[in-house]
Amino acid sequence: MADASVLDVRDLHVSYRTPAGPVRAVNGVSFVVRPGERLGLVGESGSGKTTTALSLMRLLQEPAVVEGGEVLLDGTDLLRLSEGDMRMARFAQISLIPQGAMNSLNPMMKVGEQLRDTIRAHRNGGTAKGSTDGRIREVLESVELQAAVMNSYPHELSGGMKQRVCIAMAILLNPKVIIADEPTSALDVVVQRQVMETLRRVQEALGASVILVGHDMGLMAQVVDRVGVMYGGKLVELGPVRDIFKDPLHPYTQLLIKSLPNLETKEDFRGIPGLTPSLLAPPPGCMFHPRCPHAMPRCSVDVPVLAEVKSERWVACHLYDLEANAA
Amino acid sequence: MSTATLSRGTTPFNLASTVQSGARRMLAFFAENRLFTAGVLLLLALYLFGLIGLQMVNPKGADMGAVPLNQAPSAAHPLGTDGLGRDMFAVMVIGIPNTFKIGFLAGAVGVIIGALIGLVAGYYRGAADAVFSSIADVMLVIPALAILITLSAYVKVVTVELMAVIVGLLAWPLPARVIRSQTLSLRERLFVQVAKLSGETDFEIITRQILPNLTAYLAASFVGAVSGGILAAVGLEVLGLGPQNVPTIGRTLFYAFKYTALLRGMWWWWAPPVVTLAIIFTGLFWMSMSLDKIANPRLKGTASG
Amino acid sequence: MSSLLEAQHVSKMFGSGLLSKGQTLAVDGVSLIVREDNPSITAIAGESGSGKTTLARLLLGVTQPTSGSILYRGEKLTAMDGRARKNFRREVQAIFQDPYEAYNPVYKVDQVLTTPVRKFRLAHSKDDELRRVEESLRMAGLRPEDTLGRYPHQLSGGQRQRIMVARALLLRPRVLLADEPVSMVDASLRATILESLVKLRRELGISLIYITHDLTTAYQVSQNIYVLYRGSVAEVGSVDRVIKEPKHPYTQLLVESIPLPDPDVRWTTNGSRPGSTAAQAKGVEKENHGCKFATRCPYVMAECWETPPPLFRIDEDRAAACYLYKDNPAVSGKEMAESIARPPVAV
Repeated sequence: MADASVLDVRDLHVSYRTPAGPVRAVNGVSFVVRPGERLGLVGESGSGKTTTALSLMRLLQEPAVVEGGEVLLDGTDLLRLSEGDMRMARFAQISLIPQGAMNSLNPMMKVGEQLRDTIRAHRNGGTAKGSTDGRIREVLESVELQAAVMNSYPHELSGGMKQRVCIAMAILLNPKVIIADEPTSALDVVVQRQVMETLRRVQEALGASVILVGHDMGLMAQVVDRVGVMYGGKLVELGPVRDIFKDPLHPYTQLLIKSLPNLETKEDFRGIPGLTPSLLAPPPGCMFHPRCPHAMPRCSVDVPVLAEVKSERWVACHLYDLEANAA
Repeated sequence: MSTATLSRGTTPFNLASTVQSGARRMLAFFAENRLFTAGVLLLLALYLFGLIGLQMVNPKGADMGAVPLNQAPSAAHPLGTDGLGRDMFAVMVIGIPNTFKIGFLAGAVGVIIGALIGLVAGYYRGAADAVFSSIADVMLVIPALAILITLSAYVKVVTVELMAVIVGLLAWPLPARVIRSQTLSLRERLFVQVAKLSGETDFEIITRQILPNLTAYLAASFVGAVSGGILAAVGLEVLGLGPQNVPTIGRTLFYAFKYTALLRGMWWWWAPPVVTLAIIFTGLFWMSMSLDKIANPRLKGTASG
Repeated sequence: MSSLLEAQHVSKMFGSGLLSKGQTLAVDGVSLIVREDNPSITAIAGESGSGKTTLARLLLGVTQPTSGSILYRGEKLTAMDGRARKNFRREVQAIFQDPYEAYNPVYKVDQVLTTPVRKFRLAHSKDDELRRVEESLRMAGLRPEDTLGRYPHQLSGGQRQRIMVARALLLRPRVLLADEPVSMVDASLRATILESLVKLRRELGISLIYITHDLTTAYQVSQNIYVLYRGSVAEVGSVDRVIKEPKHPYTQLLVESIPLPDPDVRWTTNGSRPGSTAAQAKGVEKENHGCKFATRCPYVMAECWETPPPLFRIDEDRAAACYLYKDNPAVSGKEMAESIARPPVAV
């Protein structure tokens, strides 16, 4: 799995320093993103998925602190870059489509101006306005927005259009990796589909990789190639999307899939009992063991490690620890 | 078997535990908001200076002609005496608590009236709101000092309390505006909806749902009204209006100007009032700055997403 | 006819101004009925701008319709006296979408449970009140000792929402409006909360009006569904028919866009592209006096621009407001509402 990867995240640790103690939001997360692939990072609130995504871009602020690990983008560790170099890398190498486009576009600036700013911030010295605008028009067309949008203010655009502007901004400089953090959570189902299909089209044209962060399993099933399931700050399962849905290995993934509403069975509800774990005072051993139907004595003692139990199938669960179970 | 007891929103009153938990929370509040605490301590120190000083000196020394004129500070008269034969120390020691009294009384009157009007106008909107808002807007534009000066022409004998109430009556528009706009937004909140569905009447919603969420704004308005009240009162006194039978800080300045204390180099006449006023307004300013931060937590600094 | 809660051709207009410029017609002539003798779960589905939230507020009596009426037990809300009003308030309750905002941050969560007990006199003593509160919390899957006495910020969103369910259990209303009750709740908890809502009908005979944009949960939970588009009813009927075989082009678009959690059943790639419908491609911004969906409809015809289509009855228990079905009998909103609210004939 180590060959041909564009992004290699190794043992990432992020904590929030709170008066009550450190909250381990991301607790040893490792995964690889291949060129051109769409990877989904799915989890509920408190799972650490958004913190992970933001830390890849080094966009976290106090009281969040990256405490360890490496984020290798084509071999360069983003976490060790200087602030200036990281600023250059953002949007040019790795970009972000944030949650809630309404909040990330400057309401006082026209759309075209904001896009030009993005380009300008990454080029030293003057650039002819003409060539910049040419690129902007090209990108707007690829997200199916008319060039006239350049002269509009964000509030004049619909939710879907604003999100497409954010996609445009994210691909302006041909990055290698695009992180999409719940890009459609505020959008209606029809617009969501349009936006996701637009994203897919531009991503494939660019040859970039996408990390789609979210909690909507249905969306993951429709859009991504591989899925990483996060729980309590850890990656508990990682594999091809079809396998995750048809043959989930981790008990949490299994329960999650079972609890998804579907159009086949009526009034058949299967939630996951219990509460999400406290990150301030986490349970010993496996984070999921208090809610796990297959918990063994070992689970409350040893922390399971993410291991490749079958080809391309990674799980962090003692049930699959072949050596120990054979003993 | 549950040992839980229900908190009904307003807990059944247990004096001891209420005072205990209230005290604990107050201490925590002061520890966290240091600028506010600094302001409070400053004002408290000044007030105590007045109170304690009153024990140490003969209040009759503040009467005119009580002591030799124009003496520079000495052992007998630590702040000297003025051109009217008053012991400056005695004057200050009586005048300072008076100024606080005026401020708090005017502030209280202004905020209570303002809050009542603001709550009613903001919650019910419609005609009541239109009427009160128009009146408030007009009053905000007309300088209160001009009104007060005009009023003073008709009211000959003024006590400290009367002046405070009159000043307070003119101070309600700004608190009313602030409380009104907060009420307008709070009434749309979901928990107000839920309370309505739970059968609460309009009165209960205003007092139990909306009012408790306004404490920061009430406090900030109060500090503002106190500042404004003291300023207006001192302004009147410096002009020679206001209470004549009681030594006040503003009146002392009035005399100091009238008898050209500045030119005569009698700094002990004008400096103590000026310094006192500077301290009062600094303390109030610190308090209102930090209340701003409490009311609008975003001013505290970046909040984590 | 034992109608419990009824909307009779209600409309709600927002905004002021004499010209139609500043005004929005949030709800446009919607009729809906919930019957007393047939406790059911009715879904009102639509996207943002569909008017579903406004319709909910009208049904709750929180806001008044611009035309048409809301009736409770046959009496108009606007004509009720104090006593009837109090009754209505007690018997028609709601659960809202946002488990954060529903609580006053100044009070402990207990208040949300004790206030209605007190105002509606549901208990005859303090002990009785405590007992009822604890019982309702347990029925909602919570432990009283973990919940009572806490402030809202000390509990999770899921717990807070479950307390709202407990509140509904405590009140035993006749009609419960659930406005997107699980959209802000974690996936693992959604099923549990939906199950407790369904139980309300099954075990306590409470009728629910389930407002959502999520057709999948609407399918799972309800018997009937009203699909709203820009304030009007696009399609109405039994939830099985409407979702499995949608007839109105808008419903079809919605159903196609559902992200099914099955990687083998992906969105068809000829899905609606932004601005790809025939009318939009021509850049036509006609003065539209007809069907609101005309500008986005792949099947748009000339008459669609003329007058808004009435509901055409397609099945015994389904109708769609679309000229594609103009050969079917036209039916009024009220007739259709009555029809689907009727108790099923015993088989």
